[in-house]
Amino acid sequence: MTCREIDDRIEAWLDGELPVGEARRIEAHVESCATCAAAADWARAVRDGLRGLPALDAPPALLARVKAVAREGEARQGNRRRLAAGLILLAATLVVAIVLTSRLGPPGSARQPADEERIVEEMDVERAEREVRVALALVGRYARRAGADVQRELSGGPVAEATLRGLASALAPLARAEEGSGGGPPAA
Amino acid sequence: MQAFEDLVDACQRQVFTYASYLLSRPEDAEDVTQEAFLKLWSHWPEIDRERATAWLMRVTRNLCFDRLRHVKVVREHVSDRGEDALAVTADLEPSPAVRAEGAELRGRLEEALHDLGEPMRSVVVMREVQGFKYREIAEILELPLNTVRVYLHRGRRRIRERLRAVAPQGLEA
Repeated sequence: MTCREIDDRIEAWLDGELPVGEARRIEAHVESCATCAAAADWARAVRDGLRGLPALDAPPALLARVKAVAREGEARQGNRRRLAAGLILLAATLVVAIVLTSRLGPPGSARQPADEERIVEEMDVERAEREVRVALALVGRYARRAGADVQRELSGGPVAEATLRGLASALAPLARAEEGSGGGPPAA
Repeated sequence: MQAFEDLVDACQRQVFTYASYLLSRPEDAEDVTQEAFLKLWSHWPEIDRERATAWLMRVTRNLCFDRLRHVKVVREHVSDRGEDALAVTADLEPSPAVRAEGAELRGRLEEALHDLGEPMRSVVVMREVQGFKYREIAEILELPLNTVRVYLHRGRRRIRERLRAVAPQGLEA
């Protein structure tokens, strides 16, 4: 190995990153060559000097500024999220009302027992719930466009759960009526 | 929010140290540090927390490069010396913040460090001054692992040669 080749590899050798055989050859050369020994000492001093350069802390006022900006941003986001949740609750309520109206007829209309039997016959609770879920998903999509992270709240969130609970509660009398009538298809 | 503030506290030294060693003026290092953290906050919801430090350091590097390019353009416009367009870090003085800590050896090392081009200087600062692992440097600078090693050794060798070329005062091994 020539001194030039040694010089090219001194840093890697000092860092212990050469194969064992090559490292041993360099070590042997450095022990017997004053020029390369001096170069190795220089390289070691440079490495140690660099490692001794100071790390610097950012000014505390700067960090406080950054955190203050982030807190303000979070407060604004919270307000937007609450507004979006309110809009969704309103939209979901409207969806439920529309579904129920389409199934039960206009509010205030007098229903006779025969009408209720007909409604029970047509009513498919699972299908209605599925429709509500689809409607809620659409509402979520529009809300997301407004920048609110509402999809998460809709899929299993408190708003959707409350809406579905309300729907189930509204439909419970109809389900009971269906059970009371024997559950089978009513006579035409 | 708490997680963000914890990350700011955990990374502030890394970001500010790196910016200080790359930029000549402390106010530039402060501006870049603040801008990097605000960018982190604006992307916080989609940031992979496992890689947030690498992301932050990469943003810091880009912001530093933007500043250095701007400084270089201004200096070239003024002096018209026609320096190597790729050596974006050339001939900038070490920052006073860095210098303030320094003795003779330290000052000369910083000068030599500042004479390295990129990404060599970033590799040397991150590895030797900041203690990042090769893998982390590779991720931050988007370089192959082996290239990081090569740049590190080449950079240290250049500093060694530069310091050997001048009087070795204060650097006797």
